[in-house]
Amino acid sequence: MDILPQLILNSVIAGAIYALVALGFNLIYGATKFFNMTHGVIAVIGAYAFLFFGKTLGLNLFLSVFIGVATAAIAGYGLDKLIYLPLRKRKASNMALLIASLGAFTALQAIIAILFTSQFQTLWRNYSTQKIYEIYGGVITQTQLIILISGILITAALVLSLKYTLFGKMVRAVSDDEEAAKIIGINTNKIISRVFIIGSAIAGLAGILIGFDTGIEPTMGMSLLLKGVIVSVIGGVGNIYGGFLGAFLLGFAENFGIWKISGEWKDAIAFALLIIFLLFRPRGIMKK
Amino acid sequence: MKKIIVGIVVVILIVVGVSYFGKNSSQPTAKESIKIGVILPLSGTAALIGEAAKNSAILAKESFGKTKNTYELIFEDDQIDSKKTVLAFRKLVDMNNIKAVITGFSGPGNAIAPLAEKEHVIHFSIGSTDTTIPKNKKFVFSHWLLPEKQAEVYIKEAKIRGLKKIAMIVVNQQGTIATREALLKEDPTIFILKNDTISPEERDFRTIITKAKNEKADALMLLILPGQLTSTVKQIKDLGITVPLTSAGSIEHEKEAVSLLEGQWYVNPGGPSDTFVEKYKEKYGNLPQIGSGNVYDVINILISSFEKSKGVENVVNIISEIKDFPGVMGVLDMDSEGIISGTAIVKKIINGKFVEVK
Repeated sequence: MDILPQLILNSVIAGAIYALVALGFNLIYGATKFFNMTHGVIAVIGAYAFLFFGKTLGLNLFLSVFIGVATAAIAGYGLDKLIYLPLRKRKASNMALLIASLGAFTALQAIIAILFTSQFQTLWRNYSTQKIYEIYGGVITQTQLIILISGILITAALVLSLKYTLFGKMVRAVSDDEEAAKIIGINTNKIISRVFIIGSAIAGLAGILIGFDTGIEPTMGMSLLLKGVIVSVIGGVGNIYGGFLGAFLLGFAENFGIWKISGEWKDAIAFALLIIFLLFRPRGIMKK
Repeated sequence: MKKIIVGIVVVILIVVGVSYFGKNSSQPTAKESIKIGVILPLSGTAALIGEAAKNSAILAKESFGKTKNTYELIFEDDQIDSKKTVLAFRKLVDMNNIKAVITGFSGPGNAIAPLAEKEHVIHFSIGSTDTTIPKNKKFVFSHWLLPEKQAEVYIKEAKIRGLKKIAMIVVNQQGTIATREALLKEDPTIFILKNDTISPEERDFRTIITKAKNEKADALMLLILPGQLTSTVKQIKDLGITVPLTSAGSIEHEKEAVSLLEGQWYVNPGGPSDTFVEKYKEKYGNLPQIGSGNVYDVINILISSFEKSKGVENVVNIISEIKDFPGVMGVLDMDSEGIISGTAIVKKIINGKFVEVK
């Protein structure tokens, strides 16, 4: 194992995980303009749905992944319908939406802990079947490769669909100006609901893949969300490309940063980067 | 309106008066039971250990035999989160009027020790390697292995096995840091990455493991918390590291990690007597966990001390002078620092079981 390739791979893996979390977060923020705190716990819901169907009931792996992703998507849709849509209809401020999402986050996290215990759990069934690949002296596991490829493919699919499909154009219209979008006949609530479904499905997939890579626990949602928010701010909140770049920038900064100093500085490095961007480039890498 | 205000004031005065006088009665009445609070991780990453400790406390109370006083154990769950431990302690003191409290692990023990001292509640800390918890405190005690003893056995075993460069993976938490300091005091030359710590919330250990590999460590030493073991070991294996994975006290935390650690050796506190293990197995159908025997002993110490005197001050003096107390963890003596220490043993995971290496 060579050190530089391994450090680069460690950074890329961390970046890919952050990118998956930030993609859905940015998509939802773009359409709704509020910090959806439940995004972290939606990833946890996807992971625990997989745990139940894939590991406890022993269903087929791909079917379980599909159920996990679908559960996360339904949870996201349900939160929009039950909490955010009624608040939006009452013209609630973004602060009210943020606090409501924080409340929903706490409640959902507690429910998961009650249903599945707070015990740390893994999603893999048999560790010995895990394939490991060597790239220029560094090693990467099959799961980490899937995380990386998923991040790239989902980003590409999102970018293309936002640019070339009618739905994508409507999402962009809602993101630019919700009132104007309504005037030209777009059902903005329907578009936002669909955005919640897509963003939450991506979060669910992220939760499952993270579960395969490191493991899951009910409280993991907050740290995922925090990293997702940092990445979004670095990349430009609501910007899909920016979020993707920001994720890898954060991954590299954290992993190279702790190469010569104690590992405990990792979070401090992440927040220092956030402060630097807020001070000197508050609209992120991609926004001018 | 005036009558309502007067009524409210009277009710407030009664409530304040009752709680003030209730709180200051240090001696329980003949009919009142002596309440012992037990704050353990009954859910969360260390629930396996916490549940077994709870079972042991119940077993100890039931097995004690006939007593002059009645005793009540009140259990609270803290998930090894010191904030929750403090909340549970306040509830136990303010509402349940406990005379003694037991906590698990160094973090919660550290959080409760000054509060127990202030409230004159007898505090026993279990599973806490941090020896500063009872230091200079009259009401605070510890029943756990001294980190110095653990370090001595670990270094001896490492030298027998020819290890010369052991990379430390240490979480920044009182207990793990105390163990690290004891190991470095015992032999500072054998360890590398000794000043590198990681956050208790961290789950991505890839870069610190890469550092250990880069330093060509001939073994890794894990001083980590429940909830971190499985992911750390998996990431070590993912990175293709095949050197021994050792530890002092962090290995028996998670069932999921056992298969990944087959054949590895580590140092742990000595286990309880066979009689206790059999008794536990008979009642609960499974084996006790690390710390179970210590909780059993502490309940026995508390009940036998309260049987001799009901006053908390007197009980503290009795506990401070414990000598040759027959416990399931051996013959127990209280030292001048308020610690009942145990023995350290070398263990190995063989066929998924934690086996002592004789």
